[in-house]
Amino acid sequence: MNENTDFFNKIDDFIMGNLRDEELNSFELELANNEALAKAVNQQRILYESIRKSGRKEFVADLKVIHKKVVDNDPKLAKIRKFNWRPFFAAAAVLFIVASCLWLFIPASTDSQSLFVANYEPYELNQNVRDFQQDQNLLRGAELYRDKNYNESLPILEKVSEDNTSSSITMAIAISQHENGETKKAISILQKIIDADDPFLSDLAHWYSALFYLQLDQKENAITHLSILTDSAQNDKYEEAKQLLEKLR
Amino acid sequence: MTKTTYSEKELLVSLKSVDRIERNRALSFIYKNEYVKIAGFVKKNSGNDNDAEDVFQEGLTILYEQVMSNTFKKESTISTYLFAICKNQWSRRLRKASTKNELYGVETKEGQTDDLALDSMIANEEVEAVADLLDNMDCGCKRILILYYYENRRMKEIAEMMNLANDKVAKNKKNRCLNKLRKLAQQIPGLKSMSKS
Repeated sequence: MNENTDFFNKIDDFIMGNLRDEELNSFELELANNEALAKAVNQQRILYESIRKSGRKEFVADLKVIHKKVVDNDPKLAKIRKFNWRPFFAAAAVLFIVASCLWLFIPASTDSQSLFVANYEPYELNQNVRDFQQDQNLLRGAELYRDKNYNESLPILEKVSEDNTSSSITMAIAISQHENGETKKAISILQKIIDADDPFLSDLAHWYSALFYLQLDQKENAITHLSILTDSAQNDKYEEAKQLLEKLR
Repeated sequence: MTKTTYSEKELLVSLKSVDRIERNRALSFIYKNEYVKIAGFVKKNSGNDNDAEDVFQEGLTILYEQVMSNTFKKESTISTYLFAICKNQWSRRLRKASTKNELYGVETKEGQTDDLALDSMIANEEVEAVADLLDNMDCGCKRILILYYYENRRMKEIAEMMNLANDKVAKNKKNRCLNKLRKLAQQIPGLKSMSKS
C-alpha cells in the first residue's frame, strides 16, 4: 500500500468516524494547522456525500419497485408461478462432473490455439444495469450479444457507445469484434479499456488481450499481458494468468 | 421457502443480509405491515397518496441507514420507531410548506443573501454534480462505492456480494474506484472545492 493510499484511508476513517480518541485528537490538531489536509478532507467529504446521495437514490428506487408490488398489488404478479431451477442445477452438476473428468484424463496441450480454447469464454454483459432499462438500443444490443448474435449486436453496441462510454459496452464490442473474426481490432479496443485504467475491467482487458494474442500465435505479446496480471495477487484473473504463464514458459 | 413472518431480530438480520432478495423480502414485509398505518396518518393530516408514499419511503430510508450503520437503538420496535420517524418527516414537511408560504408574502431586499445559505447551496450543487459523475461510472465501481460508503458493508461482505476473491481485492478495487471518481471530479472546471490548486 503506498503513502497516498494511506493518506486517503486516514481521511476516510476520519470522515466515517472510525478514528480512536487519540488518533482523532492528533488528526484534528493537524487539520487545524494544515491547509492542504483541510482541502483534502473537504474533497473527500464531497465524494462521500455524493456516494451516499447516489446510494440513497438507488435504495429509494428499490422501494418504489416494492411499493408497486406490495401496495398497488398487481394481481398478475400473484399468478406468476415460481420457476423450478432444480432440474437445471442437477444437469449443471452432471455436466460439471463430466467436464472435470475430461479435464483430468485428457493430457494438457500447450500450443497457443488449444490454450486459447481452454481459457476463452466470452465476457458476460451484465443485464441488471439500470442504464439498460432506460436505453432501448442498449437493451436490444445486450440481448443480441447474450444470444451470441455478434453480427447484429456489434453495430448496435457501437452506436450506443457513441453516447455511452461505459467500459462494459466497450468490452462487449471487443468480444463481438473477435467473434466476428476481427481479433486485431478487438485487441486495439481492449487497449482503450486498459488505457482508461478501469478498476473493474482493465484486468479483464489484459486477460482477453493475452488470449487473443495466443489465438494469433503471438506468445510474447500474450506473456506481456499475463505478466501484468501476475504483478499482484489482488488482480482479477491472477491465478488463471499464473497458470497460463507457467504453461507458456 | 419464502418467509412470511419475522421476529424483530430476524427482520434486522434480513435487512443487513448480503443477499438482495432476502433484504427486499424483509423490506416488503415492513411495507405490508406498516404502510397502511402511516398512509392513514398522512392522509388524515392533509396529505394525499403521493405524500404518503414519499414520507413512508423517506422514513424507511432513514431506518435502513441506521440499521446499516449500527446506530439503530433497539429501545423501541421497528414499527413504533418507523411511525415516529414518518410522523416527524410529515410534520417537518407541513412546517416547511407553511414557512414557504409566509416568505412568499415578504419581499427580500437585494443583496441580503445569507452567506451561509449560499455556501451550503454551492456545496449541495457540488455534491449533486459528483453524484451525477458516479451515476455515469461503470456499474462495478458505483456498486462497490455504494456498498462501502452508503451501506457501511465490510470488505469481506463486499467481496462476497461482488464475487471478488477476498477482502484485500475488494479494498484495492474500492480505493481505485474512489481515486477514479476523484480524478473525474477534479476535471470538471465548475467544481471549485474539487480543484487541485
